[in-house]
Amino acid sequence: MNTLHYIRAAVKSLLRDKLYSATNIAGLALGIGLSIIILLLIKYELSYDSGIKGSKNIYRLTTRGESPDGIQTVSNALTPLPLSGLLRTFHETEATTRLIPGANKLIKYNSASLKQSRFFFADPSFFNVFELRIIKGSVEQLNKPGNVVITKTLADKYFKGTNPVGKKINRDGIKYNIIAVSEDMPEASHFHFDLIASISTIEKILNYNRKILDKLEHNWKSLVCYTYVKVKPKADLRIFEKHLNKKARLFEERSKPENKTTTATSQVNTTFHFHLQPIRSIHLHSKLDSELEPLSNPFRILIFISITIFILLIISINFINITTAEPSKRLRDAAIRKLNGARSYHIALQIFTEAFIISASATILGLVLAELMIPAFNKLFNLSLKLSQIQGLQDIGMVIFITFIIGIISGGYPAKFFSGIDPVNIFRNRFKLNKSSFIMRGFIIAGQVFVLMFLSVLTAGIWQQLNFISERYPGFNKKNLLIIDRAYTIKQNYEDFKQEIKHIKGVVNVSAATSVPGEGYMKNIFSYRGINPPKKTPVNVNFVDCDYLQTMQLRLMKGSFLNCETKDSMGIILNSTAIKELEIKKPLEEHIETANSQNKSRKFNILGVVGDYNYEPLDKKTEPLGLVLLCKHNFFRYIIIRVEDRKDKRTLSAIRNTWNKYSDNEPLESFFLADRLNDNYKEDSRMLTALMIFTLFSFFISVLGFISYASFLIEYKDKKISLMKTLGIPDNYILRNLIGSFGKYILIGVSLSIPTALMIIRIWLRNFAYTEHVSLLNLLILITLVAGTGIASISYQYFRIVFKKNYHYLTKR
Amino acid sequence: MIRTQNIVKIFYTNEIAKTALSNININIKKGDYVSISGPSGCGKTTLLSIIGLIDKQTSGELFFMDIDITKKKDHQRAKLRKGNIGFVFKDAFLIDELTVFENIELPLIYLNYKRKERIDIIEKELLRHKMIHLKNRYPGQLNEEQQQMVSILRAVITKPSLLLADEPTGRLDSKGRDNILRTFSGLNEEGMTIVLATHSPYISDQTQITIKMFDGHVVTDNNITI
Repeated sequence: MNTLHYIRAAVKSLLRDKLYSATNIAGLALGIGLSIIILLLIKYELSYDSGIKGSKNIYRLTTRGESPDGIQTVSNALTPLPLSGLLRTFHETEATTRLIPGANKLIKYNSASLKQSRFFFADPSFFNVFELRIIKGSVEQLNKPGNVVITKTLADKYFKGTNPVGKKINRDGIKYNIIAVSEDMPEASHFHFDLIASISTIEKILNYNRKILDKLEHNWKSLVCYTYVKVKPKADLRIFEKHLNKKARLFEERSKPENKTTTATSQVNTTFHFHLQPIRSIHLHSKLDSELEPLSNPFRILIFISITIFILLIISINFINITTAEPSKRLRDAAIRKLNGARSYHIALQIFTEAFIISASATILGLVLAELMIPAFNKLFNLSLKLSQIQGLQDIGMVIFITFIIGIISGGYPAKFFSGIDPVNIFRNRFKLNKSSFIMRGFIIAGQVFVLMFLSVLTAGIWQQLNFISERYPGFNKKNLLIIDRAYTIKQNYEDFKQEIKHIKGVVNVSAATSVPGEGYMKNIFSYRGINPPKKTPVNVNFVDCDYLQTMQLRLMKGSFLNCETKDSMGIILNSTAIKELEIKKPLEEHIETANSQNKSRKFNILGVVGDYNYEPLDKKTEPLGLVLLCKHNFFRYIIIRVEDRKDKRTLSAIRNTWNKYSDNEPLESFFLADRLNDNYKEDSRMLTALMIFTLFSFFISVLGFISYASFLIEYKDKKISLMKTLGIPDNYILRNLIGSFGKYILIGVSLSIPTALMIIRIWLRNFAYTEHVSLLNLLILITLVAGTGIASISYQYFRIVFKKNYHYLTKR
Repeated sequence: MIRTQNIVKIFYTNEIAKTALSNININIKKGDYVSISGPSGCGKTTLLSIIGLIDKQTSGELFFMDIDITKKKDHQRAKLRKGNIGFVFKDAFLIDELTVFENIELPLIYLNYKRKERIDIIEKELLRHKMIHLKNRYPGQLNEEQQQMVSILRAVITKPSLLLADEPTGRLDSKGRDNILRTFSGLNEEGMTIVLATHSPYISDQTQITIKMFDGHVVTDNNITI
């Protein structure tokens, strides 16, 4: 084996045609660069929650259950408070902690506001479960009320150059003492915090009211906290879970007499089962209510893996296209080598050496390109990917594997193609491929069309659905709705504030509510006794003021809306779905009932019916909804202001000034509802952007491929074309003939790719309750684009090679 | 060296059969210097490709170095060919991106000669033919005669028993032609069997034996009469 000869010959062959080599390496390098980034992205997604020490043994307890009548099902990431205490009694438990998200309240250090800080209450054992490095201070005192641990990022931001330990911060009138600075949760975690306060602070917040605290601490029916447990290695989780549920049921039974009083989120009759969920699986596989942060889903990983495979495939096909574009020279060389003693495998080895040298060079260049492209991708995906994350034998092995695979796929067909030459051709000085190789070459170009069309249809499908969601009329006018968060700071001044805001030029209407579309709703079981047996159904409840209908611009189908003058505190407005679910025939003459916090029946008169509107993201079907009048003593979180133009700075500035006047200098936290609703699809939008980039890339590569195939086709039909030219057959006829030869492979690629892509889109659309499929028009546009590119490529090559030159049979001879 | 019995070669294209060779019986002995002559299309090149173990006859028998080739498979023919038969054509068929040295080196590589051996053999041959100064040149830097000389050196570098040449001087002027013919004579004097196809009576006159062909038939040769 003369390895050196193969390498030398391959290098010389590459240097001979510098443009060919440069195009080949550039295409491959760009593809490899993109693939590396996607692989980093996949690695990042798969690495969620594995950055914490001992994460393999950390589990989150989740709650599942169903009410005896089957009306209400629970599938929640939250658990009751006492569960953690029970966990401690098991020998399998190494450490356990509860985590309670704090309400969005202003945190101040001296006069500075710690804006958008993620505040949690947790047990002192939090740092035993999540073993984060303590940079300053000690977490030992986290059991004492008012003690708080902050992250390094928060410390760097607000305590520049000083030691924050021992400093005091203020939240909602309570002073917190900073006892330690910890490192941040790893970026790829299912939750992040800025401050962790001791859970005992809650007692302080509730003024040490034992009555309330006891109810909370012993309530097995209220889902209020996230519970995490670190189990001992080799613990039998199946048995652990079984025993835990058995004991929990006993405790539940024992605490029932005290359980009569429940909070709004309690599920009195539902039997709960607690499950151990590995934290590493949360990001991709959890589909529970009350998640701490938006999660991903395996479909995205599938899409990214498919994109990587397709990119590697398309760049390998591109290599084949370029290598075999004008094959006679290479066939001649192969025949010469064979005549001088080479066997087919020698030729194949020569081609593979060339392919491996190209793919190895492209991998090196690809790594450089990836490094250059990563900042843009980080910006797009809001990540902090680094090329240095490729580490360890496994990752390096993966990069080498990619290089190897590209070499094999790229070199495979040319190796077969060129090594198959019969040296007898040298006697006839004819270096042409046989019919089967020609057909195979056609199928390769069909493969390229398949990939291009697949990515295009997939992109079009996702684009159309996301566009549909953002453009779809949700049953209310979502444009120009400014939402003020933490509006409870206005407290008793709401009416005055509202009147003053209403007088601002550019403000259309103002309302207040406990929830806004896209946010969580409180759920109550309502029953309708007008039919036999009575009908029960869970209804989401939103407390709103009487201007909600006009502000949101809802459609009132029947009756009238809530009236502030008549104080319809016992009235309710239902949406059409609620009326349908409760099977109410004449809603305006009826009432529905629910149990109040003392388990006493409470009646609501149905005052009106509003048309369904999407108050939840579009991936959920509209559920029954009830709007109840907000009373003065009711807590509300949001103020909704409809403005004429969201870009009108003067109106927004006037709203801010009015807020400052009434809010005791609490900072204004506001957003436009349309933006917030679109945020629900941010991950999908990012995926779409990535897909668009890759589709554009594959389009660019395909154009190169089409041009190469066109020149290959002309060379293959060289004799026929020159004869036709000599016989005076018009160019358009010859060109049509060539387009026909190319067209059938385009047709094969297109017809196979469309159903495949539509099938994938269909799977993705299962995530949405309201969907729109790729339109026929869009499909036709894509087909025209791909076919048009093919026709343009062959016409260009025909013009360049045949039309411009004296391409006659006699001159060719 | 080469013996054929009733060799027939038929080309089939689109259901049309064209007989290229009909009942060819020739016997070429070791050390012969033979020319196959005849007009274009008479079957010279086809015969050369068959006796060079490149192409297969449709029927008939072929013996090379007393081995019956008739039923040998492609890879067995390739094995027999390797190092035993050299080829020269009208075109030099050099690989453009390889130097003179590297082009000549090819057959030795495929015969697994060691690098040092290859250098010794090639440099010796280049010195003998006063071409050592061209060693590192590329084909594009040579004139046609030099290119043809390189192709001859490549064909004979393994000291094959048989050298087949198809119109080897077809692209050369008279001076180049004579130089190439002199080289062939020299090689033949060293004991190499040479068979060359030509339509030039001038060249066939220079060989010991001439096989004349017409329309796929051998019409005469110095040994066999049909």
